[in-house]
Amino acid sequence: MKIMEKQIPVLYNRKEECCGCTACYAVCPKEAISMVEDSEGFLYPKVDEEKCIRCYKCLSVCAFKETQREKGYLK
Amino acid sequence: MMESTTRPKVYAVKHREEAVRAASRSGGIFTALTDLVLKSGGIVYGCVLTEDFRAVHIRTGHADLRNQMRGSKYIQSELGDTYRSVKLDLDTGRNVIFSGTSCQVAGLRSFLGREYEKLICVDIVCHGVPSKKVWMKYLEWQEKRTGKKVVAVDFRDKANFGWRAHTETLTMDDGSKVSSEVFKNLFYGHTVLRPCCYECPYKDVMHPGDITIADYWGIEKAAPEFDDNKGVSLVLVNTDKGIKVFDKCKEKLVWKQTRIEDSMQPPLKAPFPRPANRDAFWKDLQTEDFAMIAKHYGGYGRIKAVKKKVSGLKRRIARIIKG
Repeated sequence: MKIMEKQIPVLYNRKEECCGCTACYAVCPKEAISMVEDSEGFLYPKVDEEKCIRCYKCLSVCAFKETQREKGYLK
Repeated sequence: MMESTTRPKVYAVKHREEAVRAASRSGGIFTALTDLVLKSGGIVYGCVLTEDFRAVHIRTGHADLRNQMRGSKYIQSELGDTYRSVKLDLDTGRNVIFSGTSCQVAGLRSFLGREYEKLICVDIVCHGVPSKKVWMKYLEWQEKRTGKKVVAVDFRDKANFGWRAHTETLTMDDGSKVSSEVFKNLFYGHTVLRPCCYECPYKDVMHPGDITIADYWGIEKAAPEFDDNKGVSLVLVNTDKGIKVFDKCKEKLVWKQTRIEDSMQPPLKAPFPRPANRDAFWKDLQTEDFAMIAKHYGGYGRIKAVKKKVSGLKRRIARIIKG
């Protein structure tokens, strides 16, 4: 399968799942993630589909969702 | 990952230097911890307010910039490229102390991916992070209302109102002061918090920092002899590294080991739920004048008159005492 046919990483499904810590932004080897302000003034990561090589490091680095999962918050 | 799984050791702490305590939000533990790192030629990462009153994380090896990291900021900080910068400092063998919210510390640890002996992480007991957009709109409203420019802000004015009080004071361009509890009330209404704060997994006794610091609410029970309304730090020592670091600070501190049971402020128990009026608030923020927001959600007008009188009176008394 070609890289670009792989699914783009979904960093959060609901805003409650992202604390904006920048770990995914910082770990990305292709600088494909930028922190973008939403309408409420909070920063959320956004993946550039062109730059993303689908290594999914951004998914495995997410400590917030992992801890939410451990605590049973993740729906 | 990496954080301890045993319950923390709990301390009530006051810095021995009164000037340090007066310049700090609580009892001055942050200054003692970071002094240790600065003295070794190390680097401190922490949150400061910019000239336009945004909260950002900065890197410094100097006490004067570190001093700007003291005091509370009730908005989420922008980390920028801080995580990469921390890694660079650690990889070049420097001592580093990183301070931030628990989610910022956990994110950093996960990004680093391994334990660094020379890294100390300090997290704060966090109530939740308010939106900087609301903060900016609040400042704009105060400027419009008064016809003056804001030149300095104190999110929680300990000097004029004491450690327990929660009143924000703005210094205006003509030197006058505006004290208000509108932003505080917006904060405690919880509508302005980041959505994830309602499901925060770090609202617990256990934290990702080596050391966790906070205001010591409940000090009147836990260690009444410490309570002078000038500020006491709650210090949770979570890891073996935390124990070593705290031991090295002790000569700068008056400290007492206390019980976690006497120290259970709400953010150590559970996150605050998403308020029922959150959607209404954000809709109103878009469509209404901020004066309506201040009245309806910030208690403006209800307590303002009283506060203004009290604060004016306090300042007059202070001036008389100082002569």
